[in-house]
Amino acid sequence: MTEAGLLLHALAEKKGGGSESYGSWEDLYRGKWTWDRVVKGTCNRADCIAACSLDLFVKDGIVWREEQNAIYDQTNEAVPDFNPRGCQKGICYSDLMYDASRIKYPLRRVGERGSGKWERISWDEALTEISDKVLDVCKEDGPESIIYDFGTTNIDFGPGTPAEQQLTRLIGTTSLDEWAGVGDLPMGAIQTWGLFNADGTSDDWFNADTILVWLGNPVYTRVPDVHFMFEARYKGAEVVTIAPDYNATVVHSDLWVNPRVGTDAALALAMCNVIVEEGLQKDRYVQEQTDLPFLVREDAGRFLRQSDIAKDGKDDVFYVWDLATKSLQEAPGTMGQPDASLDLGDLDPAMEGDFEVELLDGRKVTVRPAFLALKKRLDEYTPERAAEITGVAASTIRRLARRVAESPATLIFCSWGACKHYHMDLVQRSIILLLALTGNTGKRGAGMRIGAWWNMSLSYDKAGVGALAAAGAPAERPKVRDLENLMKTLMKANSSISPTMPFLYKHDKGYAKLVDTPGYHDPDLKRPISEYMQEAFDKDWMPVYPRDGKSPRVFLYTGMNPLRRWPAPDAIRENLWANFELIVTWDFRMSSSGMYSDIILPAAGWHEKSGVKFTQSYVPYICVGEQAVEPLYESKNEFDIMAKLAATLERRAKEREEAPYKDVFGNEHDPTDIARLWSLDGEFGEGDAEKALDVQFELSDPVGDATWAEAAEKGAVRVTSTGGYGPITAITNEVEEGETLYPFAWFVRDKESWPTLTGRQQFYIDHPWFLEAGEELPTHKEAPPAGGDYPLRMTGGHTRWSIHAIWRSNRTLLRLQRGEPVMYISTQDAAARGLDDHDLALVHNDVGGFKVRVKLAPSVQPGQVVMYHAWEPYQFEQWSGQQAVNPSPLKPLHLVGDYVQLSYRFALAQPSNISRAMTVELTKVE
Amino acid sequence: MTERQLAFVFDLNKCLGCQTCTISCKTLWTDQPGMEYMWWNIVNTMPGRGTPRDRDQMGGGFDAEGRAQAGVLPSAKDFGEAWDFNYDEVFYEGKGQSAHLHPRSPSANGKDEAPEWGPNWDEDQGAGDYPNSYYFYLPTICMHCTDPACLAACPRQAISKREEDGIVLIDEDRCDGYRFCMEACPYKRIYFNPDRFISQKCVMCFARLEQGVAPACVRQCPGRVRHFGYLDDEESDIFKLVKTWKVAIPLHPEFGTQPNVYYVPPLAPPRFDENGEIDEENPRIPMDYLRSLFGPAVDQSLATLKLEMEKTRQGEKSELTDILIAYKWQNMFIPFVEDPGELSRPAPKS
Amino acid sequence: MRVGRVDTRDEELLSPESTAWQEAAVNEVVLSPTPLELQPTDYIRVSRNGRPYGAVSSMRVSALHNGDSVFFHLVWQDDSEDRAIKDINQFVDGAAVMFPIVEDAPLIGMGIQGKPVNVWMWRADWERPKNVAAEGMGTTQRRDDPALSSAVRHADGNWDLIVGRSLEERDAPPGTIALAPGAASKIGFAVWQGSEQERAGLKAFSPAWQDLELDA
Repeated sequence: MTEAGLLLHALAEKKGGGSESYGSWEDLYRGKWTWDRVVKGTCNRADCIAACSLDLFVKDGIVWREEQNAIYDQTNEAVPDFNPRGCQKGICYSDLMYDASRIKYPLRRVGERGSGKWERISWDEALTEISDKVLDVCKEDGPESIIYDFGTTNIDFGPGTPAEQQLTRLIGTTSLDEWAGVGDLPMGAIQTWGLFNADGTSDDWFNADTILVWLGNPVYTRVPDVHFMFEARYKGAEVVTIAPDYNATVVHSDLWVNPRVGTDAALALAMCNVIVEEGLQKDRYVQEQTDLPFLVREDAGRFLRQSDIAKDGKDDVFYVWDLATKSLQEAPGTMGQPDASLDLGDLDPAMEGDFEVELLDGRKVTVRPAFLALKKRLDEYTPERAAEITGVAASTIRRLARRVAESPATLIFCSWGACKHYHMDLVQRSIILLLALTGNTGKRGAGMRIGAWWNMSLSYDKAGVGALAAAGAPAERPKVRDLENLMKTLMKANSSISPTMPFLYKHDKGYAKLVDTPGYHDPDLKRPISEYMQEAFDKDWMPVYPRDGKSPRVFLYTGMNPLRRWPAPDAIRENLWANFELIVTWDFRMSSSGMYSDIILPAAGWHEKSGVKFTQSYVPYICVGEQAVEPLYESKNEFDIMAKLAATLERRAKEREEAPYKDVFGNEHDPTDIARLWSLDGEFGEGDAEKALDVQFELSDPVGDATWAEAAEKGAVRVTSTGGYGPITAITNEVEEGETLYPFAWFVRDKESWPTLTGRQQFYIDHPWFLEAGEELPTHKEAPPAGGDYPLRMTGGHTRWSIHAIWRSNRTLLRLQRGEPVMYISTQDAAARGLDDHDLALVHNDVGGFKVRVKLAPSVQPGQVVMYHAWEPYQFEQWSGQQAVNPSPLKPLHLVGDYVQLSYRFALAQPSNISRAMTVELTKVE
Repeated sequence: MTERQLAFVFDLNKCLGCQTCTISCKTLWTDQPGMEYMWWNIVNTMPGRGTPRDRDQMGGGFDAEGRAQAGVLPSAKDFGEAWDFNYDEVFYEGKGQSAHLHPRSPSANGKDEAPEWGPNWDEDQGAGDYPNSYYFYLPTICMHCTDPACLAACPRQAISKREEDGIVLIDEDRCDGYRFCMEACPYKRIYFNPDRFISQKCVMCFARLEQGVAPACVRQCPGRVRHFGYLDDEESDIFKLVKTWKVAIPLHPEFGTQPNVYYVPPLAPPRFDENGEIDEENPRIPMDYLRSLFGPAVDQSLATLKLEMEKTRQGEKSELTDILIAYKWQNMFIPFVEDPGELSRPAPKS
Repeated sequence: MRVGRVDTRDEELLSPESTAWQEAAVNEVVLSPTPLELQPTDYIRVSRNGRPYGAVSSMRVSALHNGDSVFFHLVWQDDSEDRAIKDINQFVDGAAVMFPIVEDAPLIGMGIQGKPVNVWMWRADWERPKNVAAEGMGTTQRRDDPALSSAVRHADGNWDLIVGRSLEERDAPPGTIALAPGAASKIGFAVWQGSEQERAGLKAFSPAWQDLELDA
């Protein structure tokens, strides 16, 4: 039984017999497999790292079922095709859209927040109330006190999200940058590369000879893509999964490496140790592509800079010792060099040796290549020593290191799993180092893969700033480092986008108190955490709005479920949340956060509106969904909600005779003109969502000449270009017909400078904070005991069963689980606590606790408990969910904002929600 | 033997356990009242109890002499009930945090009884002692047996095996809901519809096949696990995997029904010895366990598979692995390559 | 078995408390399990070997007609009242009366090809009894028959069932026995115990036809 099935059954009964009126029982089956129309759909607002085109079978006005629209062409004969993309979740959205979690009407809270007491109100009533509050706050405190949170759970690539951003920009709200709030920010990649949203197509995985699945579980999280890995295995590749538990991806691996939770950096560094010890590194690649030949001053531990040795010298010009000329030479392509090229020409940079240079003041200091410092660091990670740390046998480490070094192409599927650990940056830096030593980054079928996006225009404003210039020949295209610098400047000048975790720290006393708990942090930090935080705010490394003692007062969010996602929701509910005077969400389903909101607006379901799915680079197609049925009940698509809200704001502003107000940057906002501005001078209004899509397609490079109408007809169009470089489009390679796509060709093939201080994959970060913490080079550090002194580490992972919480409450899928949240625990740890399978346990630490049923699994590493992602708090007793034990201690080094690649801009360089490896204990609930 | 036989090969080394097959079937065929608890297609974690629970111990099938074997009639709880959930209580009844969303057994007559079993209850649990843990995924559907125990057990001749393709079907007009078929089926893939008082099971999407479209579970499998076609067609993948390479083998051949779903048995990474070093000598999944599922043919099947994979590691080509890779997805289910999205199928006028 | 004629309305005859039934002659019908070896499939024979069925050993039967309709009143002991299945592995109680359509139609096996029988079958989960035509095991054609009626109660560990049919032949489903005042036929009985998973040929039955005579 499905919800759509039941509706169709009821309709048939009403019509009088319906399906009963067929001749034979066989005709009954034939009659069941019928439809009125097929519409091309997709999960168009799901925050899912896939993009899948679906056939929607519409019958009697009901979206009866989905089936994958399997139209993707094979890239070339030597790689498997992409068909049929989809998963169990996407193909039962038709169940979710009609189920009991569906929000039908605008609702206003009539009891306490979270009481479940609602009254149905009209759209007009709801939007008027919202408008009045927004206008009050803009006038009293400025628009920054209105917080807009656009995701990432419920977001599209047009037209809903652009419409929302258009309106909130006009109001001047603070916008939360949730990238790191989700815990998806790989800071180690940013520290090393200056960017991270680089990947290729998933069929390129097939070209790998060795695949390491490291800190990811693609069998759960990459359902439509992971086949390429297992097909590569049949082609001769070796698949190695590195994970503490025997997870679903290990099942199909040739080798399982099972380090203790949080010791991955030690494992990677030991592999680097073997490679360096055995001389297996690719020397020329290391000389050109990394900062390891750069000379470091022995006295200060910092790079030798031009400013050290030349009057008016630059801070971003660095040196190598050229073996060819036996002289000090400027390294090409660093940030201070006008030419963004890494081409070494005849330079032969020394990797070893002590050299002496004279400083400006006449002092002589010894300098030596960073590689020597690295070697010294790697000496701490012999396989034997790493075996003690990780629990992985030294022989395994050696075997794996040699395999990586000798394999023609090694690919590391890294996903976002590493981003949720306190020392995730150290892990990523170590992994990237391994790939750099072996020359694997920037190569077909190789490198660390995380994810990337085709750069579809997120605007339907032809006159506005379109996409940044498209890719072209190396000589013609803008340089990545220049674009990154431009983005930093734009951010600082005129953007009230705020990184979420520092925002929470600043505006939520309860959360700040948890972050400030000394025991939850790296013991190498010399100062109290609050001092690091204060310095970051003082120096404006972390631009957080509202400022000047003003508080957030209104919260508008798109169904991204903050009380499910944010750490320590009990603390946040009592502070930041309680201080909001108005909380509004628009969503199609009831989330836990929705339950704690003041007004809920019913958003149309995905098949009830047209839109563009996340433009994931895994599949070289832009997948779209066309509206298949009318919005259910009183729901409206986001474009129309914004149109209505803009109109209501303007009407109320006029009625109230509101004067223009200024935002923190001094820009003037006239609320009596906001509808006109939002509509682009009357160009767009309610009902014009598809018109906006027409323009978006016109403005988007990846779709070439294809129009929205063509895309809607086919469901997906093949990309012809990555689109311009952008914050989430760092593919840095061109789409070539008949070729799989891999990232970083511009830097490796074309020798363009990376957007880092040194212009290279930078393994030596000589920022004072990094030196202070002993993290100038990759190293291994134990995860601090965030949560207190408890014996178990709670880890997790994205679930097979839902994208965030979207499907968590779906009845059909819950019936294929245990119907309620579970925690996986090793059989040993369960026995020690008297826990049997499916017993209820209290999971607790100093932060809080929640009750959950345990699932005993020999696959789980003793000492580890696994809580998969995104159960709704309302699925737990007292709505106390899995974040209740999460203090999410921000790693202070991630606040740094004055070091080229370490400088905040949207979706980059900020602290993350650290939701893994907190300490807990379990007690059986009798 | 029927004149022709359609058959499946499920490659367990590509199965993700994602249940997309399961949902594709649910939304197509078992979305009606009375079918709530039915999963004609299900994927189980193995070692595990299966669906219905302990199905391998439920008897049925035939003994070596071809004599029918008694079987157990499972309960709904054995299959896993279709739990209800208290959505409205949580969302709209003003109970605040005192009510949380949770499943309730539908047979508990309104009492708030927690479920104790479900169709995928032991997902990802498996067996072994860490770090020598192991599990894999096993999808099952009606096996459309060459010698169907269900057909033989039915006193009403309501079950037939089609001559033209070997599909085993329950005639829903003749079926009287006696459920001997459910007892006799050793794979326990027949369900009972209490609303219509008939037994129901996988129909191999015959309505789709008539239009040249592969079964939903085949066509919708994102892991590209399922090969489908005529076992008697020597050009088919099915024939090559089953007959030529003998890599695809039946589940529980000792049940004696000659099932037409074949499996490429599971590989696993090597186990660890007592020093935590890689132990290539002893398989992680005990061979005795695999033999208990797939019979003695599993040794040869795995040996062939490993040999061919070793060849590709050395850069050689292998017809076997090329088939399993399935470079062109549609080749997995020749000749049923029509795209349903291209078809027009209005409901017949009632 | 004699079917006495009374001057009582159908509605009253459909009540077990009716005085007409209290005055009607009671026939003790001996029942026994259907033979295992005659079960229609190997599976049923194997699975029920050593697992007894058909334990209801007797039934008290009265029969009356009023010129318009004929009614059979069946009482048998059954401590478990299985009116509806609560689970898919459960079965409901049932009972049937059977008549030969041709004189030598065999009782065992429910007729045979060319020699049909007619069954009026009651099942505890049905709203109405059904009219069944059969020419051997597995051949039954079951039809709704508005002329068939029944009333039932379960009390003191007994089923108390009245099943009857209009004597009118018009609109009768094919294969329906033609009974009329003064006519003679034969009759057989069967009982299914749901709690023992009895269904189809697994039942207790009267192994031989009994003579049936309707008072004129």
